[in-house]
Amino acid sequence: MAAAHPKTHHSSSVDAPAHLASAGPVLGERQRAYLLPGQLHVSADPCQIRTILGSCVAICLWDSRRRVGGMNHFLLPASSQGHPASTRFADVATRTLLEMLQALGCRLPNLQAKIFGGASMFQKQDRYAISLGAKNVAAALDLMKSAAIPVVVQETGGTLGRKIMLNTDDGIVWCQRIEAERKHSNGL
Amino acid sequence: MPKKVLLVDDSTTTLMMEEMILKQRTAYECVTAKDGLDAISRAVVEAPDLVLMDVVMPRMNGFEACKRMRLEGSLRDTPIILVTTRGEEEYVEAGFQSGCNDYITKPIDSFELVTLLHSYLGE
Repeated sequence: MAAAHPKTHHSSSVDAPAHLASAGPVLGERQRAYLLPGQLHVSADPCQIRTILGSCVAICLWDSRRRVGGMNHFLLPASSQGHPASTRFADVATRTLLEMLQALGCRLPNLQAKIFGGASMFQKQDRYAISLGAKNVAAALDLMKSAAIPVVVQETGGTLGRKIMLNTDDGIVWCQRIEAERKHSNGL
Repeated sequence: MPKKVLLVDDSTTTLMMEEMILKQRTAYECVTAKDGLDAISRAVVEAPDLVLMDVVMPRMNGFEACKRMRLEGSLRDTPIILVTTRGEEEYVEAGFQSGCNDYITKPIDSFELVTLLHSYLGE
């Protein structure tokens, strides 16, 4: 199966095989939403939420009882003094996502989380640990721990960007790493 | 020796703004280029520690310049951050396929820009 099912516990890759990844999940009758950095989206109707991540992180939350889900996409680990509160920060983005899901009738004990992103060009652990990507991932994990929401999938770190697609009706998330094309292109 | 950042944009206003942010809030040295072709030649000569590059530019866009920098031995591992007005999925995906390390969207937020650059270059 190309995707990580919410009932399974994956700690590593949930990448689709190459021949499936290019096609991605079926959109079907679902609505579609694309998140830019700092945006978030929830839906009680079937919706496919998509985003692309570098050092940013996306938290996908899904309520298996209500079959409602949502995703945020934040750039920075914590809001700072002197800077307006914004969903571009992990804490505000996640608090807002939780509030929007609760407004749709979701309850915290029924939510589960999948966390993606946090890439860095630094592969050595000591250098990665102080990268923005690592700090964003740490913030996401801390926020989920504080909210007592289990993280059932974590696909984070590494050096590559990622394309993420969440189906809000079944909770399935596709994660595809974006490889750089190393071949020369023609023309100036 | 200060870290060197190559700023690439066909808009003089944007270059000035980016340079002002970095001069006020970091110790990085800034060099500039006005399009993708110019960026490649400047990068080869200046050997920047990081490239912050616009996407839509005349003569050569940021995707193509990024791909070509990755083919230059001296620039293969230089962090490249693309600055995109068009945050659409296809544009962002094309950016990563061209070999960039990260992206930010316009309008540029100074706090975000500095935080991101600190992450790559240190303070």
